[in-house]
Order: sequence, then C-alpha cells, then structure tokens
Amino acid sequence: MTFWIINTLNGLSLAMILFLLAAGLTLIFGLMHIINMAHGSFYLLGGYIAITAIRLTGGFIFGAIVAVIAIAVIGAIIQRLFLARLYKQEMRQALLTLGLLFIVADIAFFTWGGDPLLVPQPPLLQGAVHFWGIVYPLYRVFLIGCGLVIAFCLWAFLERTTLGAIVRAGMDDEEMVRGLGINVPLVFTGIFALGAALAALGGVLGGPLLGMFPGADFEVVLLAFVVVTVGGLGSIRGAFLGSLLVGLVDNFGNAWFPQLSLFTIFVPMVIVLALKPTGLMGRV
Amino acid sequence: MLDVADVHTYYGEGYVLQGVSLTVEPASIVAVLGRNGVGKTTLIRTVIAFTPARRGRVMFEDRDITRWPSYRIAKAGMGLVPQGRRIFPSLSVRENLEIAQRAAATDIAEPWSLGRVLDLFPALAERLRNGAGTLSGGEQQMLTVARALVGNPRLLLMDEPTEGLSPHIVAEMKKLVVGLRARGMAILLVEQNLAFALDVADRVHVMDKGKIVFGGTPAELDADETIKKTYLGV
Ligand SMILES: Nc1ncnc2c1ncn2[C@@H]1O[C@H](COP(=O)(O)OP(=O)(O)OP(=O)(O)O)[C@@H](O)[C@H]1O
Ligand SMILES: [Mg+2]
Repeated sequence: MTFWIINTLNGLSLAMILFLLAAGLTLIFGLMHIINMAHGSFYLLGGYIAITAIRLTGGFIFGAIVAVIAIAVIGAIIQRLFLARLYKQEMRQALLTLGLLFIVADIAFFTWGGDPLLVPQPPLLQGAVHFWGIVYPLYRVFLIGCGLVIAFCLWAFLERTTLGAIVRAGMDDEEMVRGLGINVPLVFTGIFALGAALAALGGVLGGPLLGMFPGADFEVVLLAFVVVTVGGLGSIRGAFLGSLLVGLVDNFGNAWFPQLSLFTIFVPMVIVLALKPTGLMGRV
Repeated sequence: MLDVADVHTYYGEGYVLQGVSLTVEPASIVAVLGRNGVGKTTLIRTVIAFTPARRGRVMFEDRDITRWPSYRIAKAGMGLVPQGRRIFPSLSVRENLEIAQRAAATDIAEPWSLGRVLDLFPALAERLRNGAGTLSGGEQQMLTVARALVGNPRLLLMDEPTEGLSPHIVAEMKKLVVGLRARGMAILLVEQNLAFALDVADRVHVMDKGKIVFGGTPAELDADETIKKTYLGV
C-alpha cells in the first residue's frame, strides 16, 4: 500500500510540472499553430534565473516572481520580434524555435556551467508530512497543490471569461476574430507570454526536485510534447489528463522496469493515438 | 461612405481582382452579383483587408483603410457576415455575441445592446447557452448577422447571406436587411440569388473574372437580358 501511495504522489508531482509546460504548449499550438521547441528553454531559464535570484536575495517567492516575469517578457519579445513576422509559415516558425533552443542551451551553459543545480527549497516547506505511517516530503505536497490551483485558474480563465472565449474563438477561426474588431496579434503575444511564464514556473517549482542541467530543456520539452499529443492539441483539459497519465506511467514504469524508462512513456502514447488519433480531448 | 477605387488583389501569384471600383452610400444597399469564382468573396476580403489590395485604394468614411489591419477596420465601424457563416462552434451562442460586443465601435448614436439584437432574433434568445455548433443552418446565419450587429457597424459586408437557407428564412432575411437600411445602415451585399438582390438593392453590379461588367439600378439589370444571360446564366 505504501508503495502505491508514494508512487502515486510522486507521479502526481511530476504530472504538475509537466502540466505547467504542456498548458502553454497546447495553447500556443491551438491558437498560433506553432510547435514551440523553445518551451524547454523557458523552463530551463526560469529555473536558472530563480537559482541566481534566490542566491542573491535568499527569497524563494522573490526568485520565482523574478524568473516568471523575466521569461514572460522574453517570450513576448521573441513572439513579436521573430514569430509574428513568420505568421502562418509553420515550418519556419518550428525551425526558429528549435534554433532558439540550441542558442539558449549554449548561453545557459556558459552562464551557469555544466553541473546540475537545484533550485533551493523554501525553508518553510523543507519538512515532511506524516500520514498512515508514511513520511512524505512537504514540498511535493505543496507542488501538487500549486499545480491543481493553477490548472483550475487556467480552466476558469478559458471557459468563464470573455478573454478566454476570444482565445477559444481564435482556435476555431482566427481570421474571423480579427473581422470582429479584436486585436488578435496582441492576443497572440499575450498567450505566448502566458505560456512562457507557465513554463518558467514549471522550472522554478520543479527545480528543487529535478534540478537544472544542460539537456534538461530538451528532456522536459520532449515529455511535454508527449503529454500534449496524448491529451489532444489545443485542449487544457487534455493537457491536464495527459500530464496525469504521463506522470503516473513514468513513475510506476520507473519503479517496475527501470531499464525501460522511455519505452514506458511512449507505449501509452502509441496506444492512445491508435485508439483516438486526435488525443484524449483533441480538437484537431 | 465606402469607396473602392481600382483595386487589384492577388492570392500569391493568382491575380483575382483586376481593377474593381464601386461606392456604397449611407443607408443604401449595393449588391454584387456574379457566377462562382469570379471574385465576389475576394472583393469582401479586400475591403476588410483579410487579403489587402496590392494596388488601388479602399476609403471608408474618408479614411484610407487599404493597409489597415482587419481588426482596426472592423472596430472603425465595419461589420462582416462572411460566406459560410463562420460562427465559433466551440463557443456558446452568448459567447459568440459577447466577444463581438467586446470590440464594438462606440461612436454610434444608437448602440446595439445584446437585448436589442435578441429582440430581432428571438430564436437565438432561447438558445443563448447552447453550443453555437448545435444550431440549425438558419439559426447559425441569424447568429452571424447578430454577431456583426452587436459590433455597432455603420457598414455591413454580407457575403451570400441567403446561401442554403429555406425560402421562409430568405424572406426573413429580406425583411431584416431592408429594416437595417431603414435605420441608416449601409450594406455591401454579395449574392448569387438574383431575385433577392433585385428586391432589396438600390444599386447592382455584376462581376466577371475579377472585373465589374455592369453597374446600374435593379430595374436596369432586370431589363438587360444579354447581361443576365451572359454573366448570371438566367
Ligand atoms: N485563399 C485563396 N487562395 C488562392 N486562390 C483563391 C483563394 N480564395 C479564392 N481563390 C480563387 O480566387 C478566385 C475568386 O474566388 P472568390 O472566392 O472570390 O469567388 P466568389 O465569386 O466568391 O465565388 P463563390 O460564388 O463560389 O463564392 C477563384 O478562382 C478562387 O479559386
Ligand atoms: Mg464567394
């Protein structure tokens, strides 16, 4: 029983990190049809910037805020300066973001070195919780809680606000939304920045567990793409379900068959896609 | 209020509009007729700048909007009822109207509230919470018009609004556009339905292969058997 509870909770905490990445990826793809490889860079830079900011000032929350805002701004600039100019040229946009992934990886390597760095845990969350004879890290419980709250906020934003309705309408027919007088280019920039900020938050919150190191950007963006593919492109609910599935499968897979780690991720993806090619909640 | 002057529009290398000019006066309906693929939708797309003219000029209320982004043109007081309806199926009926209202023009004497628009379309009022994709074809067409109206336009672009509608709904549509004109709305109406256009329009133009080949009153067009036969197939 303990084995099941601990691995489920571990799976959920990984799922929340994946969700923070997948939510932005799926929104950006659904609205702008951009396969954003640079999402891994936003995650990595978010984690690294938080590490530096926390070292300088000592505050976890301060570090998190600095990292998230910095990456949102960087994301907005990248979208305006580069991606907006390649409007509707999907192949070029994907290649551009792949190039950014490599460039940022090099910059990060020069700046923060090749050794893995952990984002320091906030002191308040360093203890453990005890229940049913299990001792479980408080930080992971906090992470799961954060993920659930953010997932709810995103859902409420998309389904319950007019701005959210504009984003969904943009996924249906972006040109027609412009024809109604809505500044869609601005909505694109905003959603891209939001996605970047969520990825940075994933780096900050996941940093104490997974650490930041050269290659973490690619690893995590690959998993996030599996999540988005399984969940269905363009759907936040799909991103959430996909994250749960991939997070749990990855954890139990690693516990049972540690030699097969990537295999255990891709098998469920292939099964889902074989049964439902659009993914669990897919719209395209 | 709308002045299209010698516009030339391309899709990539495809040269579609080859020098089209027309004007629409306030509180009038100008119809554009023509067979499939002559460039009627391209004319609408040029005016709203989905596909801006490569040469020529589009003036709206004395402002040169040829190179404006579409959203700015729409917000300046132009409403679009596109071919094929293009409602947002993943939104509810209410959300379809709300997002249009969000960007509504404000410089108009009698703004269209949601309530006023729904008075015009009682069928929609009953279905506000339904997904827009679940509406019947006629209801979707009504939603498209309602969505354009809540934006408070002074000029309405309508691209084959009667396409695929039952005769009963076409009659409703006729009352609707005539009623809008009576309230001062200018309408650029693209149609394949000759009878409908002749009934409601103040002026009619006939297009062929990207050019306007006839312009006159509905009575003049109705009397011109050669034009009707050559370009409209009737
Ligand atoms: N997006 C596009 N890309 C390339 N060519 C296009 C595009 N849209 C239309 N065309 C071409 O431009 C020409 C004019 O098309 P348009 O849609 O304006 O005709 P239409 O008069 O509205 O026809 P219909 O009555 O069938 O709606 C056609 O030859 C069409 O094939
Ligand atoms: Mg057409």
